[in-house]
Amino acid sequence: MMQLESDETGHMSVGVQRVYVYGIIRLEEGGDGSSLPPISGLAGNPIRTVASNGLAAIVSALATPATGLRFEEELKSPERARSLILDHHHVLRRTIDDRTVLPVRFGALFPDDMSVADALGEHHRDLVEALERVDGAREWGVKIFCDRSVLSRHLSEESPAICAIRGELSAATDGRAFFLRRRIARLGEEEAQHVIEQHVDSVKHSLCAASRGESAMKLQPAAVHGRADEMVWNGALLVDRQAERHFLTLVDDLLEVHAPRGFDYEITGPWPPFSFADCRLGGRENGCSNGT
Amino acid sequence: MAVRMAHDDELALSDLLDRALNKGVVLWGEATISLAGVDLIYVGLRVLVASYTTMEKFRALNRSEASLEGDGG
Repeated sequence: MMQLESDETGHMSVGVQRVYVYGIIRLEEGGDGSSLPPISGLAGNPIRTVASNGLAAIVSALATPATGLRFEEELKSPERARSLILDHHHVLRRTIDDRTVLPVRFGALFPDDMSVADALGEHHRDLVEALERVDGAREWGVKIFCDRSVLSRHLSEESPAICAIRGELSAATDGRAFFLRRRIARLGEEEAQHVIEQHVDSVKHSLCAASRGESAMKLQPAAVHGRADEMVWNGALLVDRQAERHFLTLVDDLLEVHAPRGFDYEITGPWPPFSFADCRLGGRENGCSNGT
Repeated sequence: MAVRMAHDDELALSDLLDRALNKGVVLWGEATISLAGVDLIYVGLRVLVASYTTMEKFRALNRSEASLEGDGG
């Protein structure tokens, strides 16, 4: 167990070269990982690999003050953090076209190559299994949005329950009509909610059939997605490289059918399979979920 | 009818944060950011994202890098 050195001494004028890890790949037979694209990572340093027993970590050097804690300090600046997270993503994004990459969560920093190789060795079995789960596939994000006013209008015309009440409306007294209109509104909201839930289930089902797995993501509030309609589902799908075209066409086809009812979709990707690489290795909560 | 797609430099920062800071293999090195540290970064950046009126795009932040991708056409 290593102990982090606390440095409240302030004698930190000399920086230390550390090794930042982006992701993990499997080495080809006899390969040395040198087929990586010639790109730079955090702070502009070139990426390279650190190999161990058939696996390799995609890394680059990162100069930091003498303790790791200072790296966390540096990230308290949102602008700095954002810039480094984008660097992290760009490295992964440009390496997933040619190979399967197990993405590492932002912020994995090691003292040197040796300790990276040790981590690969120590968690070899978990990493190999995690790589197998995402082998030959990439992640695509799918969001479902719904414009409830369009859906309600649509439902008010096709729902038998609502149509029946509307039939009563023409012959109703003022007081009764008020009551009936409120019932129509309430029924409309309930039916809209029900239809949205059904729709999400059915789309998820179709997407799962065209992919290797699904992972739910957090719904984003309007302030984050910036749209006028409402996000009703946010998910990630693990899609085989060969099936990507089929998958994307499927989403187009679903939109064609469901857009008139107020539904819309957004696709993002391809992503490194972040949502299907949820493993904690070497920490207190060691272990991988099997992705189900 | 085509679904709106965001590729590469058009991806929203919020979608990236939900992945790069919340998902992926957690690999512990001597200097790896603690999970609590990552959570703090996440919260800080989500506040930033939510303060924008429109989605933040990578394009604006990585204009120089984006030119490296593809053939520039």
